[in-house]
Amino acid sequence: MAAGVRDSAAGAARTAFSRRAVPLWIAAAAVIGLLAGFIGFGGLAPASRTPAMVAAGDEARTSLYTVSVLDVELADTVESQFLEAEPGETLLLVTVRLENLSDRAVGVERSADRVESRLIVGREPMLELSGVTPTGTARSWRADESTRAVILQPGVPADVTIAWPVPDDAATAAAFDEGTVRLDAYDAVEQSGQVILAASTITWRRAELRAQLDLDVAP
Amino acid sequence: MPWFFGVGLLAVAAVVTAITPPDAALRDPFPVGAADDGIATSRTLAAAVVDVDRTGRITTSDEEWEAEGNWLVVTLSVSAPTTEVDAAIGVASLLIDGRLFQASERPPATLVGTDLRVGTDTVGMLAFELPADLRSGTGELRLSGRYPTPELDDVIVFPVDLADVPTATAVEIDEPRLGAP
Repeated sequence: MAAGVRDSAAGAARTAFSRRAVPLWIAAAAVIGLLAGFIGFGGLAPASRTPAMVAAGDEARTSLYTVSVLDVELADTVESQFLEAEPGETLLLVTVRLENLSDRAVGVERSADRVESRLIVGREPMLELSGVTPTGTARSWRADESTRAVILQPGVPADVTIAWPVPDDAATAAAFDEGTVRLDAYDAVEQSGQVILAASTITWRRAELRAQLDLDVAP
Repeated sequence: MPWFFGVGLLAVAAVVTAITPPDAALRDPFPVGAADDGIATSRTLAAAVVDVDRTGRITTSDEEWEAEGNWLVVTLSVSAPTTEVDAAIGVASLLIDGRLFQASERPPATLVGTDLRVGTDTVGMLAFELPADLRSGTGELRLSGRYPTPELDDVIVFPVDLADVPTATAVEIDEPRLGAP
């Protein structure tokens, strides 16, 4: 009985290391190699839903646009834009470099032809303040020029200043002191639809929060 | 024999699938090219290309504004074919490299939105700001009326080949003016 078991074990070992089994070993090694690569490159790491924290000057990349904060200022008036803060409010001026990664020109505020970017306007804008609540709608213009509504051409970076009216009170000042004021950059998804005048439109719909950019007011 | 028959049917099905236009094509605009005299006439516009230039710098005559970049500047002579109501270029776009650019809003002077006249040409310029690395390729310049790119309506189309376009050191953007180019 014991001899029979020994014989069959020896036979199994011969089979396992025989020349016929070589392809099997190669396949096993390949599978182990693939698994090791999968795990090594983070295949088992938990999926991350936390937005990236981006320091001033660094670029946040979403699927349809990139944004980086160049300058942050608080002001009561912007003469070149004939813009003045209401009593009890001040203007938070954020200059950002925006690049349109999609393949159609988009407007920052209004649509360029048929694409609505909703970058800063609307109920769910792609770029939104957090840590301080704006009291009105945002306005935008090219940083070094005072011209018409800004159009972002595909692949051409543009420096755009965005002005948000914010309350001029202690809470806002404290938020800036603590550094909790951020610019939330949401991912955008292109969605096509119809408007009544028979024209088809593409709108950028807001997806998950991709990055939070620090807004530090220069002293 | 049945095998050949089956393969033949498959080939026919593949051709039919390949040449069937997508649903959106039902509402596509009609492209209108230039006639022999260089003038393309759509329902609301009659346009001819006068000049095309590429440049690294565009300026204005009052020297107050200038911009560096990779610019394509198109000079057009445009008029209204039948009526001056709503006669203007509302959308000027450049389709190249799979991307759709709009005439830049940056220069203080532009032909976009300028009211056009019947029987008298308006000569004006459109500037397109392109990515720095876009230096070659063929595309088309599209002009349409006041409203967003129409469906089931005319769109004027001029072919543009970047390789053929001469490069200038600087181009001055003039205000649109009436008269012959």
